[in-house]
Amino acid sequence: MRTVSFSNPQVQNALNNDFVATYTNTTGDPTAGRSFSHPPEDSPGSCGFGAGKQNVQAIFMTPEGEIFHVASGFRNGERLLDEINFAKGVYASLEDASNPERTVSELQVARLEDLGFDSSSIERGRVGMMSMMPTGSNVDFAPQDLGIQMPSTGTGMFEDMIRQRVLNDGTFVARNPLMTRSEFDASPEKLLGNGTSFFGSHSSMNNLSGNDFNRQRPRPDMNRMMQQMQDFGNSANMMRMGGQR
Amino acid sequence: MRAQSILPMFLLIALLGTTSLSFAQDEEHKVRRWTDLQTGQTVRAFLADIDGGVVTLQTRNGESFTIAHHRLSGTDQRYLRNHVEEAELTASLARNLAPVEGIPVNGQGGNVSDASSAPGYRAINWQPMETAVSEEGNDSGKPVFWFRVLGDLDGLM
Repeated sequence: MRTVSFSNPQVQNALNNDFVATYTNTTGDPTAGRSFSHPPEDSPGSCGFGAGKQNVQAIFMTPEGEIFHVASGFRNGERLLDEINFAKGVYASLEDASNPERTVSELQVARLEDLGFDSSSIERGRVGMMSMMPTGSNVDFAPQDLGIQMPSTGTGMFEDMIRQRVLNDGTFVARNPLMTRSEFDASPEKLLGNGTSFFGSHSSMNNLSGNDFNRQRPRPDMNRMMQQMQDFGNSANMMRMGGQR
Repeated sequence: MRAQSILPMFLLIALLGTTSLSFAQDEEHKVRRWTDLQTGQTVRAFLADIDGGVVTLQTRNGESFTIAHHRLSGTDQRYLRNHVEEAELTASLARNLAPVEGIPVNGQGGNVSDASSAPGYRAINWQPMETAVSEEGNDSGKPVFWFRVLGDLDGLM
């Protein structure tokens, strides 16, 4: 997101003019995911909507640090602008709201309905195939986390994984309107779950495979990549789904 | 006044064939607070040198710090940019400071036409969390965009 989404001029203008932008590094946070790391000058790889929800989160707060919107996982510039514009609308609505918490919840639910979620899914916080998973199982590893755009299976499984993330974000805020930053920091698992997910973009995977595409790029630090691989353990462990730390 | 004091030094530097720019140490009024966006730490110091995008700061007691310019706050980067313009630096030094050109001036928005060479996040005026959020709200009254990310925004992630 730092190289792709934030290069969108409209995103830049919005964040610089309509918001105060800040960031924190979640390294060491128990809810943080895992990924191949790379410097900002590396060529960005392809990335699916919502990928790496434990790696990046866009959180919108009042100046007092009360959360009124979240978007976890990757958003490209256009989609991030959608989130920004929605957040601007929510914040504007708070100005005259007699019950700000209720206003936030209602706007979040209304947005989910606009996105096509039925009231049952919103109430349960689970959608489609994901409803078959036990609540709290945090089975949310998706092909998008590896930059893979999967064709429709016809079962809706992969589509549900993406939709589940959007639903998670909306229902989290609807159920915890204006949660303070300190409350969120104390229990980010309410949004991000307790599992460990892995995220790797095409770019970082290419660094490992060394294919022709990669030869046109800056030479990767293979020692660093190998060390990361060793740190992560074997591939099965890297991709374990919903495991507890 | 400022340009007059810097220009001779700049010419000397140009003669020596370096892209480094040093600033006079005796200008105590130039001592200001600098903020490291990555750590949130601040230091009161004056600008001692800019070389290849690396900024050297020096405190009154002689302690020196170096930091990549894009790790400095937006206010600090604008301060640097103003000095770059004021001193009429050569194109080579301006290239070293190229990412600063993506930083918007006076909130008018940045121009990042070459996002591939200047990662887009550098055009965002990132502020430390304690500046963005407080119980009394921030100075601007604007809502806060909090980018929570695994890794160093300006390094490995």
